[in-house]
Amino acid sequence: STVLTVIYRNPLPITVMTKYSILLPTYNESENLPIVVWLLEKYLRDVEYELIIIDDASPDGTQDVAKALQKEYGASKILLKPRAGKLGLGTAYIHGLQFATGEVPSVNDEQLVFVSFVILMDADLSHHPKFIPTMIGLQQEYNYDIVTGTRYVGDGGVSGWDLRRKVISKGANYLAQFLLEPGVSDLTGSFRLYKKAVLAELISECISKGYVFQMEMMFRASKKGYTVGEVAPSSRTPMIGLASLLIWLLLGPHTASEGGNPQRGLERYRPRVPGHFHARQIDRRTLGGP
Amino acid sequence: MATQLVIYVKRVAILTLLWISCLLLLNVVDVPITGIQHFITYAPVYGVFLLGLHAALSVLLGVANFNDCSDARKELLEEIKEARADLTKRKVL
Ligand SMILES: Nc1nc2c(ncn2[C@@H]2O[C@H](COP(=O)(O)OP(=O)(O)O)[C@@H](O)[C@H]2O)c(=O)[nH]1
Ligand SMILES: [Mg+2]
Repeated sequence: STVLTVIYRNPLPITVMTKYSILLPTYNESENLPIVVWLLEKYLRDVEYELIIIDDASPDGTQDVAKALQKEYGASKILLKPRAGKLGLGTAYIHGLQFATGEVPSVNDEQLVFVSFVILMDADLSHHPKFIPTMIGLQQEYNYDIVTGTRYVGDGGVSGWDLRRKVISKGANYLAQFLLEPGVSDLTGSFRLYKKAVLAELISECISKGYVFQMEMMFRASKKGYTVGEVAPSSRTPMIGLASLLIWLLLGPHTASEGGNPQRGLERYRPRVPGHFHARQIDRRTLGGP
Repeated sequence: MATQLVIYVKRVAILTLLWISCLLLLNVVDVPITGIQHFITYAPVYGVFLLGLHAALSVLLGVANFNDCSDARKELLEEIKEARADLTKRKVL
């Protein structure tokens, strides 16, 4: 691509300007929305980001709350892109993506490259903004196309789930892992960071709606060879493929963890310079393609 | 999706072929140990059984190791309180 060609010819370090657009679909989140915005401000103080709120005419007045927040934090930080009715999550992302203002990857002058990212998250406080710096740091370290965040509040766990819901969750995940082999441990999670162009491509190809949509996005991404990083706690039991089944049975479960993505585990990649990700000097060798 | 199906059909076909050739080999070569003969003949049954065992164990382990993170919940509730206070002060709420 053009970006890489220029980088190749350029002997000097290049400044990469990054912008993060957060897509936040809301439906009846008037209680949670202010908290989410406040937490974003708290944890992304040094990240250049914009928040796009896609509210589907929530009857609880979420839009009034959103307007008040926009007034407080500024119209360039909080964009309101409501829709007239409840049209579902999948189309909410498509709708919101159109308004993401981060520059498309292009070369401004020979020293400056713009890369835009999109973060998808839920507004119901099941996704904590404090993980976003970790996701950003991981993306930058390995130049991942996608980084999945932890699905639940806290360090990859859930709060207040009963046994039945846990069994269903684990069972469904096992089945999906076994049949689809996506190479990603958390298929159904919706807390994700994408390179903007990658998200636009995937979203235009996905046919499913609702909550299968997240799975389809991940499945397509892995089959297309996009690189995926995962922010997940290292204590999770890894899912293992059919080939390693015998080895696992012979040598015990402790060997299975070696087969997974070596970058897994929160401890492995705390952001080296917390918060200072919006502009940085990089050596041209570190900006490899997928 | 179709390609994933093709991958699976291929795998099952390869395994089936392998099994059938082992069965044929059993007919030609005289294996003195009955255990091996039995194992090869019923290999698919053992395979399915092991698979089921793996599934059950994985799900059980997963459920047992489910991260309940009540600490994180507590921390979040603290932050919510803090956020409400700050937002009220700023007259957003
Ligand atoms: N705009 C929009 N947002 C929605 C819709 N349905 C759910 N949401 C939001 O999407 C996020 C996830 O929804 P939720 O019901 O918690 O999904 P779950 O966690 O998968 O059960 C929350 O922020 C909701 O407010 C919808 O139809 N339109
Ligand atoms: Mg939810």
